[in-house]
Amino acid sequence: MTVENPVRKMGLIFTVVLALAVLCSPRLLIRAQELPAEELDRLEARIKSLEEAVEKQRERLAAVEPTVQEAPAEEKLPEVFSTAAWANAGGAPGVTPKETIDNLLEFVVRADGAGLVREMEKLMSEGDKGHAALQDFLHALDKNAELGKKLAGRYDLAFALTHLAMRQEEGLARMAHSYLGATGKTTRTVLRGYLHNFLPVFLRFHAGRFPDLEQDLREEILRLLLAGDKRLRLLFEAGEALGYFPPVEIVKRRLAAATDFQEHSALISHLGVRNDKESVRILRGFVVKNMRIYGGAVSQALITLARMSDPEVERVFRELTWTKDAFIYAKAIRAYFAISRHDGFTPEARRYLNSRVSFSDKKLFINQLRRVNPGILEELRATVGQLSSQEVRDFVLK
Amino acid sequence: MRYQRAHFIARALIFVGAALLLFPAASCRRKAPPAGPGATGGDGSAAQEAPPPGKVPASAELEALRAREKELTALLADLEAKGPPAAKTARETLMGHLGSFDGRGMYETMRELLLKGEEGYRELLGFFIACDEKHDKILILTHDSRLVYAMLRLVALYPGKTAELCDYLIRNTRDIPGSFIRREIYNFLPVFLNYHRGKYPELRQLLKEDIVFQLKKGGQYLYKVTLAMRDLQFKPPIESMLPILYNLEDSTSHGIVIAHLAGRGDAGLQALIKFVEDTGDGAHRSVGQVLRHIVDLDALGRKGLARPFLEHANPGIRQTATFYYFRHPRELADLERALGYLDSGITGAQQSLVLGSLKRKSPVIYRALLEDPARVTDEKVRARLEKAALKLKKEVGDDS
Repeated sequence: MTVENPVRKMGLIFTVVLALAVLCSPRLLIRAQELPAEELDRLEARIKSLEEAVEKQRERLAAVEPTVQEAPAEEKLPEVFSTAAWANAGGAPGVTPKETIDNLLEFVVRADGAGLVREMEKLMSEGDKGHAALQDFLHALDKNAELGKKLAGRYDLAFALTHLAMRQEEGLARMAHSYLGATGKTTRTVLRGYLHNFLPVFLRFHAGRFPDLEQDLREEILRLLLAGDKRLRLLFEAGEALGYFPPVEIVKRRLAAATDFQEHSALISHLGVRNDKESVRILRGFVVKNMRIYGGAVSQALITLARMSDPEVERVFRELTWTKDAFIYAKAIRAYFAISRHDGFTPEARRYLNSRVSFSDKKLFINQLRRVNPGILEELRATVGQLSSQEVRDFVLK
Repeated sequence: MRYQRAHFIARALIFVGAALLLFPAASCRRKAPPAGPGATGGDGSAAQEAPPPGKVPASAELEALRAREKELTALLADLEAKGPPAAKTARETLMGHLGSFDGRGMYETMRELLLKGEEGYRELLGFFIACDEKHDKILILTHDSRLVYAMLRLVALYPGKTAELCDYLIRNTRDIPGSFIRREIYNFLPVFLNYHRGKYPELRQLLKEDIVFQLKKGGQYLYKVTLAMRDLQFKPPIESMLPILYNLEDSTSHGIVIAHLAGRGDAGLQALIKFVEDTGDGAHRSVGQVLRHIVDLDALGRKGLARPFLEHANPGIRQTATFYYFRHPRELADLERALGYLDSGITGAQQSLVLGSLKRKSPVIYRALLEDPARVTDEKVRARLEKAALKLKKEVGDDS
């Protein structure tokens, strides 16, 4: 008979329960699932590195913030300064004593820029009276074009005047606007030309600080363009510097009416800067219409088109390079490859070299590749067998 | 009975032991951490589950650490978003402004560096050098109106700092004379110094010393250097110009040096005369230029100045001096000298030029030569003269 030994049984049960309990203990449960000690170490290390990174970033921020605070107050964007009142005031020129004007003109004659700027600053600080004298001085310069040219044309005098422009920004804006207003009906004076050059850069830098002057300058650009002013490049560059693009219809009209290269060139460049669908359309129209009339301008227009990023450009070149007219094809393809192209354009270059265009045109094209697209030329050399003409092959390999 | 009692005790012990052992396990199961990030089943916040300090069960500790990690990661991301991009250096920022023609941005960044002092100057110099290495960049920086305006504004508003920066640039670009930065220093600094009229005497002196140093080293951008000398009204020691002049292999800048020395009075003239004597190469273009200047001075009234060269022992120098001598009007007394020159084995081009000069400037000598071409022994010259004489006779005959 087997009699159960109670002690043995008790030991057995105890062992089973103990084993079960051990298996169920929290540490082991976690270890079984995630190796908690390693996880702890990893987390502790990660937290330490994060704490360090946070501390460093806080220090970096703390180092930057005081610099920003230390910036001189004058560098904070100043408030808008209105100049319209002076532009519209008109004023009666010629009220300043002759000696005052002669004194200022004498500085120009002596090419004493520092002295001139000092006197002009002094007059600006005198308010209306000083500004009236400055206007009379500018009108006196207009009467003596040679002195006017000297004032802005000589490097040392121009350098001195920039100090006036930088140190007396509001005074300069007032003076310039007043002068532009007073001479609005005079289309050309030496100083107006210089102001058209300088003011857009000045206004662009001050981004919206002198809105009246900016607005009047834009209106003047538009007015001059509509009036047929010949200084197209000056006007367009002034407008572009101000971020102002006159209505494209005006540009189109002026391009249609232009007869000399200077005008064409300025208008084409401006359309290139506009870089939009409408500009592409106008340039295409100009190219197609004047292909055999204004050769130089058409070449410039084609190169301008090639530089533009509007998607419409590709369509124009497709049209111009899939033509039976060898003249148009040669001109278009040279413009197309006048800018750097990647190797993917090699087949297009090869197609041209295998076309029925004259060998002399192909030579020009290959020489252009040598300068602008050596990568494509290399590719053509590597696949020279795909070129149909022996003389073209020889020239490519040369 | 004894067995039953033992059994009972054993069961009671087992129960108690099991209860003691199993309770934490059960509690552990209730609070067991999730197996992985996706297994939480909820997003209970760290604060809710954080155990009280001191008596922290391991699972809760782990949970707290995870929560802390999450919290710090979020905090760091937040701070990084607030702060400036850590990786962008001042040069990269400046390059960015250059690339986008951002005058205002360029002004602000340069201003910040300018106000920093030497550390900022170092950054600016590094930027200028980086632009110089990609030449189109330095051209944009120095020619685009938006960027030039920005820099001019700094110059006008911070002249003292500008002077310090220029000082730093001069001292730290001495050994890169071909650098565009130096070209701009010579362009800009004299005008700046003149505008400020003696306000920065040390900088003016430094620029003068630098000019002398650069001249002695060979004078890159010599034209700009001479303009700077003119604007500063500075006349460097004559000997500082000579290394350029005596470098006969590179005569590109000789014209500028000769013109400068020619304007330096007797001391300059003596240096030029010495140069002719020292080199002894009458055929060299620069020697010819100096001889021409000497002969011109002689013709202008410094009588006797050209004579030593017209009678020089070195035939090359003699020939060149004589060639220029006959570019001025001469009298019959110089006929023998003209004959000597024409017979001295000069080239065909020189023959044509000197005969042309004689015809225009010294008709007395020219007529004498035409009247008796046989006095010239050189066959080619004689043939030319005979041909010209015949032509003249024909013209005279036709006229009569």
